[in-house]
Amino acid sequence: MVVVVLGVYTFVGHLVPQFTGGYPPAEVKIQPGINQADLVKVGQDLVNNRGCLTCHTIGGTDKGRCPNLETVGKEAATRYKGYNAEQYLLRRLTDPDFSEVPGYPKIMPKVWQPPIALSWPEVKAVTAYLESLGGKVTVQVTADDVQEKPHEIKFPDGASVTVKKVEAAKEIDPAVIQEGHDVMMSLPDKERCIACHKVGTEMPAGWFPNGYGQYCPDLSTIGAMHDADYVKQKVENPQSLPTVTGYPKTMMPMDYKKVLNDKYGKQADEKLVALASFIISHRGQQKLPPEISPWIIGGMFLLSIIVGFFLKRRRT
Amino acid sequence: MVANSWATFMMTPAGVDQNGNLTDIFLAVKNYAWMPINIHRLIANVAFGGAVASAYAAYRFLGATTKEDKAHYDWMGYTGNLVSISALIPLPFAGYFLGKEIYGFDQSMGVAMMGGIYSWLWIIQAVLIGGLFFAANYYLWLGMGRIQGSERYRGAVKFMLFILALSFAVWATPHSLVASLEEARKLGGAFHPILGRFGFMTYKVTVVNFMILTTFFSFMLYRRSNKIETVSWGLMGKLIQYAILLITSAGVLFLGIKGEHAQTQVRVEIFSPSQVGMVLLAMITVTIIDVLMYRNAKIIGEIEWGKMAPRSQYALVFLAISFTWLMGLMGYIRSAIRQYWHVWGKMVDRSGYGYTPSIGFATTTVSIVVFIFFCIVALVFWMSIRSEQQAKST
Repeated sequence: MVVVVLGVYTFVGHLVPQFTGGYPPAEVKIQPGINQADLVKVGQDLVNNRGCLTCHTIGGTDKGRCPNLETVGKEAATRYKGYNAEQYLLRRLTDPDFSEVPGYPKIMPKVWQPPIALSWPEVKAVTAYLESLGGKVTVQVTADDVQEKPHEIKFPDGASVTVKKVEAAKEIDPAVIQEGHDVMMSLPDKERCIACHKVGTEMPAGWFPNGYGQYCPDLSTIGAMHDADYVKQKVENPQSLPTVTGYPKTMMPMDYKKVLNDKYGKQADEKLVALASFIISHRGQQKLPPEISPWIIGGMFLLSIIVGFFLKRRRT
Repeated sequence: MVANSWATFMMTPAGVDQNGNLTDIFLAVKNYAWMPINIHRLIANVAFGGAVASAYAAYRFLGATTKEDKAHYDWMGYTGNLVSISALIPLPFAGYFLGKEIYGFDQSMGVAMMGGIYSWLWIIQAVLIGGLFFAANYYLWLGMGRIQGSERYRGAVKFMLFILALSFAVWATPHSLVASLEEARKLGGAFHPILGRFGFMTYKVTVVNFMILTTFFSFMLYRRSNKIETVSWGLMGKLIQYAILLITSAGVLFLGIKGEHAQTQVRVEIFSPSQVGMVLLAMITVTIIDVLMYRNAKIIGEIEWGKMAPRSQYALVFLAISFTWLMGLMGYIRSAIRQYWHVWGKMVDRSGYGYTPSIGFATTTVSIVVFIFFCIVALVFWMSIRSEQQAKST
């Protein structure tokens, strides 16, 4: 009987359409100055093979999980105020949640991040293909686009997105992290980073007890976004880099360099590097998984005892 | 649970940053899909364990020569089946929860699993689940044959069979058809104009709830086969039970039909969980009423353990095989949705083994593994019987 049943199931398994997941896709190398027709073709291949059509449709009457892209090239020109088609499509691909699309949930991933992980030229190729669907292709790939570096896209409303390849982070020596922590704690209460910022689980010693973390950005995930050079520059000269949106521009003290020089003299630079390393060692945590209420676990345990009791009673 | 965390970390990694560096080992263990799979596998293990125990009992029943042995193994098979089916009933809910969490973690993985290249796998699963529910109910209906007094309820069997068959047909209907270009042109598309809608998840969730309620109803009738209630509110109690089941079924159907045109978020977050909640609440309230109603009930007939049709035992063996095979299939889908990611979104598998085998290859492998498993189980059975015989002879 075992053989018969297994045979039937195996037969059914071979009846259905057979697909395989395939190997990881190789990055498509796009030459600068590629003509637009070829760029559109590359973009079309990417759309067909990198999972876009899992959710989107191109043509047809079925309402997919995500919008129908049949005429997106034409619609994109007027979809968002102040944006032309190219800008809208680039923003939608690199920062999908920037606006609502009526009737559809916000589920699109950023195409330059895993699991899709398109390179910057590939993003442009997809944009070109989408523009071609009912609209005019304006995207071009330049020599700068194919450089292996982060690419910042600025949009008409002042927003910007930096598209960069995800690389393995350099490990920081734990001794340097500890040194940086000690540097921070050696500063007067009011000068410590934790006086205004949230930095991991560090709490300020009584200063700004009600304002802790409210006045300045949370640094718990800064290591995932910036490197030590960024933090070092920000500490030395806060006004030399943009302030995080929503926070006052002049909050951060301008005299940290002087404070460190006064305290550490010739070692000030070395201490600043250690402090920056300590700050960027905070790389944040993933979104917490859902909690299971202890009542549910307790209830299941109780239910199993009750069932066991009734089964035993029936047996005797 | 430890082994589950390895598997789920590969699917829904947590506690690591974007570059793959470990930031929190506790979160890496307690990742997104960990608890859903713990719950799903715990319930499935109960179902599987009960099925294997009842399969052993079935085997012994078929080989029993004395009335006492037949009675004993008949009872054992029923008890194992009771455990197994009690766990089978909430299992689809646990599976839905797991699927929902996968979607919540990464929509593209969820959609590839349900609506993309692996969607056909769920049609195979539908065939198996349909078989499981049919076999479970069939065993119960045959079991009523050994209970004096159950004749009153046998008329309901054909209606339950009809509901099960219709529900199974809907559940096993795919959304897209395997059709040639010519056939698709005649149909007007890749989907059947009428039956294609049954490929939508909303209808599948609806009919699985019907199958669950039908199985629950079978249990309910089995339980009261040889009893007459002695409480004064017995008739009212029964009417209330039937009303609860009917209203629940109507509510489930209503939400199922409405869900076809609802937004995905509304359907997934509100309608489907509401259907689940209604069915669970119905089963709990009906059970409470049943327990209270049949306290000190008058027993009008004995359960004649041992007087069970032999074909019922094959249903028990079928259940055990199907549970085992289904577990293998689900293992394939759990692993396959990662495609070429060794750890989803973090580590690509660029080795020569970074491909995903086809469904046909996977089903062949699962069948071979299940066959080996049952050979080992048969060996254990044989050793058990041998030791019994040796004990008897001494």
